[in-house]
Amino acid sequence: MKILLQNILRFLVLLLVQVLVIDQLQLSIYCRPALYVYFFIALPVSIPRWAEFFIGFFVGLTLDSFANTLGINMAASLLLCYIRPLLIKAMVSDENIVPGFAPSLKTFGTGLYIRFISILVTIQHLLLFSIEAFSLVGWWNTLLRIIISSAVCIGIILVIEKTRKR
Amino acid sequence: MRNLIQFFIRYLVLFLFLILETVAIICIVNNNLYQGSVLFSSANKITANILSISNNVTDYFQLRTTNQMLSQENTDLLNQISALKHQLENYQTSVTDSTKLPTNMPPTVRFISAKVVNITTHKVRNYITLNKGTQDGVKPDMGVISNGCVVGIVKNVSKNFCVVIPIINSDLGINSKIKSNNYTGILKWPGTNYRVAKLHDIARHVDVKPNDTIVTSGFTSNFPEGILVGTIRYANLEESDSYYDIDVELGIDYKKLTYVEIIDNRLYDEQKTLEEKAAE
Repeated sequence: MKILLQNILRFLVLLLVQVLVIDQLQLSIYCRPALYVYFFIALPVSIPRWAEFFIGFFVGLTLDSFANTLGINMAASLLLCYIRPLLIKAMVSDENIVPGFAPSLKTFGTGLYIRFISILVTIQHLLLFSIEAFSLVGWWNTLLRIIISSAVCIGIILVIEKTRKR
Repeated sequence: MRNLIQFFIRYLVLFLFLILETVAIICIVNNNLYQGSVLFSSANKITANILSISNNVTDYFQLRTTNQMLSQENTDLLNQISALKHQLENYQTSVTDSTKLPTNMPPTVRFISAKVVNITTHKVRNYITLNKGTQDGVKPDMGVISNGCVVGIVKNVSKNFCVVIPIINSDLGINSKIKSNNYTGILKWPGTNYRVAKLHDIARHVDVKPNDTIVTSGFTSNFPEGILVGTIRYANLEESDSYYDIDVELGIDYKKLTYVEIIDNRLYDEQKTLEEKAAE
């Protein structure tokens, strides 16, 4: 119950930060971190896979509604939710997974955690920006966008994890 | 049996994933059809209200410049009124005794003023949400201007809000012309700098100079003829090209946009139905 509330709260906070702060700041065309990925990253491992799909679908839909990009966040989030459990399985051995286990800097250890979020964040940005730029020739711009936005996003997530209470 | 069920469950997850992903892709592909997409856009009640609350807060930071702009516009309008009054008086004295002018003719174009609730400038497909909807007479395909410059075209309309595709959305092309020689082309945004768009389809025999003004052509009925779009900043013609490469600096600064006017062209439907009939 506590974990559920914690996750709902985290979703609401990240949604508001994403929609009202990051998307409004409009720092640069190249810097548009999709910080809400952190919500997926920090979901508990014990969650059933079908439920994770529906969460990804719903979160993507909510963000799309704000950004007028119906489908883009949805498709990217869904794929992320598909990859995440497979990645965790490959990175963490089964005996380490106790009830209530969720990926974080503490449970993963610094090196592994950075690798874990780097892969997921980069995949998410890769999908988001390449679907968005589908009809455009400027692939060089898109690549630059993916690299800069992912780097900023990974940085913010690490800062959040560092300041998190034990 | 148990293995079979497990096997099935494993593939069930994969199937579920594929079904949901297909739904998402269908959404992406169909996004250009504006029927039905109002529900999941920023014209929807919940999203629009959240965005307009946050906009109410951030507005205070721009009050000074907005006030300056408004007062400037007010004085311009007052000047225009006085000039027109003067002209009208001149006409009236010369006309009264011969024929009577039609006095109660309604104007063909009406302006609906609206406020920007949400705007993005840093994406490839940017959108603007305005606080006027069907209740105020806004319909899809109406043109939107601000300070006499083209902003974009209305896409979705809900009861109290509408979503506008601005020039800085790579999906939109605006039919515009060079004011000095009347050659028309399509203005499109390449998706990089929010101040600069490209003018396509200007053939090589046309004389193009930097600082020429670009205005709407009036061929599409969203915009009347002659509304400012921008000025040519750079024009280049390669030896092998048959069309110019033209950079147009947009007349509007989307990062400062707060108040806009929606153009309600009374004759829009008439023109549109006539054109469609002719095309059949």
